[in-house]
Amino acid sequence: MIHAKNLCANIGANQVLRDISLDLEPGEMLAVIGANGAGKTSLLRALSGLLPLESGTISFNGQGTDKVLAHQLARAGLIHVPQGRQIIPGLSVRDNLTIGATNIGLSQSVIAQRMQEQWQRFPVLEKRQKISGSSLSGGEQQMLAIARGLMMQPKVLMLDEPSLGLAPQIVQLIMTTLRGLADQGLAILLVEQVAMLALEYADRALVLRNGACAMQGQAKELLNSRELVNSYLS
Amino acid sequence: MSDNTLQARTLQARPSNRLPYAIAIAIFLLLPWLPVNGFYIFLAQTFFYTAIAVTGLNLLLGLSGQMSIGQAGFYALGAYGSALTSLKLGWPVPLSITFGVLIAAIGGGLVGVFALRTRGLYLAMTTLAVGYILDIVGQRWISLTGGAMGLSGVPSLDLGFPKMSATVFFYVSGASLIIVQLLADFINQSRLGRNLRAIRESEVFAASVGVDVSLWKAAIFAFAAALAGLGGAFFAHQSGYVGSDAFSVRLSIALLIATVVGGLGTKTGPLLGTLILMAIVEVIADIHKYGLLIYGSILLIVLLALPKGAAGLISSLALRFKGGTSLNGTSANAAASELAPATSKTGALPMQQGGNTSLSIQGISKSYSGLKAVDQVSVEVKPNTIHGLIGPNGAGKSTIINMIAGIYRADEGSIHLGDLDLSSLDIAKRANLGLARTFQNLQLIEGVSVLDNVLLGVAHKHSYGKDFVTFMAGGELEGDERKEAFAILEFFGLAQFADRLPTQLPYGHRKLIELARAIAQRPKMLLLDEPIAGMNTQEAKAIAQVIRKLREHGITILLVEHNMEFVMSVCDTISVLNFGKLIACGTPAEIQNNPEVIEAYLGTGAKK
Repeated sequence: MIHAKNLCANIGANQVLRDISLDLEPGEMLAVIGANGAGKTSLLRALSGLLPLESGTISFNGQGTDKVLAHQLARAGLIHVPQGRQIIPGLSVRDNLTIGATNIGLSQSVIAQRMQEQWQRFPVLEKRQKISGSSLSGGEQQMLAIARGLMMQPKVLMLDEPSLGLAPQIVQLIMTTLRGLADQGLAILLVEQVAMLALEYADRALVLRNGACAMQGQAKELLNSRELVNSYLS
Repeated sequence: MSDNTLQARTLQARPSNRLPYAIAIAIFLLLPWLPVNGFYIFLAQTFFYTAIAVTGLNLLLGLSGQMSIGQAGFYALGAYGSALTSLKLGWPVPLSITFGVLIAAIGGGLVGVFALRTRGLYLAMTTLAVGYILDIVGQRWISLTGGAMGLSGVPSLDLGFPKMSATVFFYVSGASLIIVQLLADFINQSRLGRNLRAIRESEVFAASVGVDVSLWKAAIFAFAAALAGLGGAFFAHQSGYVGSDAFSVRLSIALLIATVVGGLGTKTGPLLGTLILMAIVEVIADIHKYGLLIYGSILLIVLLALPKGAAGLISSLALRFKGGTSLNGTSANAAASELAPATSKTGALPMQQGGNTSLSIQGISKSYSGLKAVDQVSVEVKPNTIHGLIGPNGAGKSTIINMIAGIYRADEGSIHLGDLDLSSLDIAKRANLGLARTFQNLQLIEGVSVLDNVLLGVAHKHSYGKDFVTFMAGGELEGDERKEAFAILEFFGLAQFADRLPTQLPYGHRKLIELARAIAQRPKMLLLDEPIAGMNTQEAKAIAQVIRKLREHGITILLVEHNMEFVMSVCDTISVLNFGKLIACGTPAEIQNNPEVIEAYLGTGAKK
C-alpha cells in the first residue's frame, strides 16, 4: 500500500530524516515511536507530501509520489490526521466532519451514508453535531478529527499523536477504534510518543532516534526490550 | 595570514572616513557664495531639515526596529512649539527651536513608554493614532494654532543679520544636519547601536545581555522624535508660516518612504532617501493628485527589489566595481576553504571566569490559567558542575528555564544564584549579576560582524561621552573591549571569522558565536537552552568539548537538551521532570535505570 525507501529530509540546515524506510500493507497497524525531536512528525509530513524530500522514494498504491501534491495524495486516500486535531473553531461539528469529504467531491448520498457510519462509531459526535467544533472536549475533538479523516475514504490513515493530552479511558477508546479499523483492512500508521501504548495496539513498530531508524520489529517483541529503553535514554 | 596580522586587521578601528564630511563641508560653506538661484538655497535648506527628521526615523526603525507611522506628529510639535514661543512669547529663535525639540522629545519619550506594551503592527497603529491626534489638534485648536489658516509672521532665524536670513538659515540647518549625521554615525558604530540592534532582534534577547529595554526604547523614541521636532522647527522658521495641513499622515508616510528607500539602518540612507523623496516631490508637483499612488508604488518596488534601499544598491555596485571583495575586506571566495572545524584549538579563557557559584531553586511553581506547568520543583545546581534538565514534551523544562532567566516570575518558591536572591529581579538585572544564557532558536545580531556579536556581551569600560570624544578624534572605538572579544573568539577557535557576518557561517559556528557572546558576559552561571539542536554529530562533539572546558574555568552550567547521547555524556547530574514535577535527580547511570524515568519517557499501556 505504502512503501518508503531511504527517505532523507531537511528543515533548514537541520537534517530531520536520515535514510528511513518503511512498508505498510492493508490491515496493518505500524507504530512510529521515539523521543521528542526524533523525527516522527517529519516522517508523517514527508509521507503526506508536506515536507519535501532531499532523497529517497515513496510509492503509494503502486505509484511514485514525487510529483504528486499533498492535496492530490489526500484525494487518492492517503489521509493525515494532524497533531493537535486541527478542528476549525468557527464550524459546527457536522461541518468539520464533512469538510474533507465535500472538498474531494464525494456525492451527497455517499457523504450521508459515511456520516451515519461515523455517528455509529462515535455516538457522542452525533449528539453534538450542531455545536461549534471548538466547544468539544479534547477527546471528542480527537474523535472528530479521526472521523473527518474516515469520511474521506482513506486507504491509509496516518495519525500524529492521537493520545496527546487525553484521559486514559478516552485513549483506550480511540486505540480500540483504530485497532478495529486495521482489523477491517485499513492501513494505519500511528505516530506516538507514548511508546508502551502504541506497542500494545500496533502490529509492528519503527523506533526513531535523531531522525534515523534506531530499531524496528514486531510490537510485542519490542514491548519489554532494554534496547527500546536505551534508544530513549542513552 | 598569520594570527598577528589577522588580529591587527580585525582590531583596527574601523577607518571612519572623514573625506565625505570634508567634501560636504566645503560645498556647504561655499554654496551661498556661488552664483546660484535662491531657489536652490531654499531646496538645500529643505533637504537639511528633512534629512534630520529622516535620520531620526532611520535610527528608530533601522536600528531598534521600532515602527513609527506618526513622525509627522512630532514634527508638528517641534514646529508649533518653536513658532508659538517665538511668535507669541517673543522668545529668541534659537531658544524657541530648543523648546520645540524638547517638546517633541518629551512626546516621543511618552509614546516610547506607552509603546513598551505594544509591538509590531500594534506599535505601528499606536504611533499612527498619535500622529492623527496631533494632526487633528493642530487643525482644531484654532485659538492656539490658527488651524488651516495657520500662524503667519513666524520670526525668521537670522541671528541678528536680517538681510542675510536665507544664508544664516542655510548654515544653521546645514550645520545641524552635520552634527546629527555625526551623532547618528557614532550611534551606528558604538555600543549604542549594538544595543539597539539587539532590541530589534528580540527584546528578551536584549534584556538577557543586560540591556534595560524599557529605558532604551523610551530613549530612542525620544531621540527620533527630537530630530523630527528639530526638522519641524526649522520648517516653521524657513517660510515664516505654519499651517496645520503640513502635518498630515502624508508627511509621516513620506518620511517613512525616504527612510526605507534610502536604506534602512544604513549610514547614508537618510541622505539618499531625502534626496530621492525631494526629487519625487518636484517631479510629481504637476500630477499632485496621484502623489500617494506614486509614493506607494515606489515603496513597493523598493521593498521587493532593493530591501537595503539606495544605500544598499550603491554599496553593492561599488563592491562589484572593486572586484568582489566582501563587506569587511575579506575575499568572499576564501570563505569555503576557511570553514574548517572551528574548535580545533581551545586555549585558556582570557580572563578570570566563573567563581564556583551554585544555583539553588527552591520549590518553584508556575500555573497557566489553572494548569500547573511547574509544581514545587527544587533543583540544586552544585558549583562548577554541568547539570542537565530533561523530561518528555510538556514536562515544564522551558517554563523552568524562563523562570530562572526572569522571563516569567515564579508563583511561589525562590531562586538563588550563590547568596543572591534572584526571585524578584528582571531579566537584565539577573544577566548583570552573572546569569548568561543561550537560546533554543539561536539569537545573534544578523547585520553586524561576529566580533560585534561577542562585543555585545563584553562589559563596557568607558563612558559614552569618552567614546564620543574618541570617535570625534577618529580614534579606536572600544579598543580594549575589542581585544577581549577577540581573545574569547580565539578560545572558541573562531578568530578567523571575527570580521565575517554570522549569516555567512554554518549553523554550528553560529551556535558557538552565541556561546562566545554568553561567555563574554563573564557569567557565573550559564543557561543553555538546547545547545545542540539542529547540529550535526561533529558540531555536537565540538560543543560538548567546549562546555567541559567552561566547567574547568569555574562556570556552573544548567542545560536543557533532547539529545540523550549528549546529555548522558556531558552532564555530571541530571534532573528529570514529568508533568511539571521533579521525578528524579542523579548521575546519568542512575537516571537511565530509574523505573519512574523509564515510565515517563516510554509511557504505560492503556490496558494496565
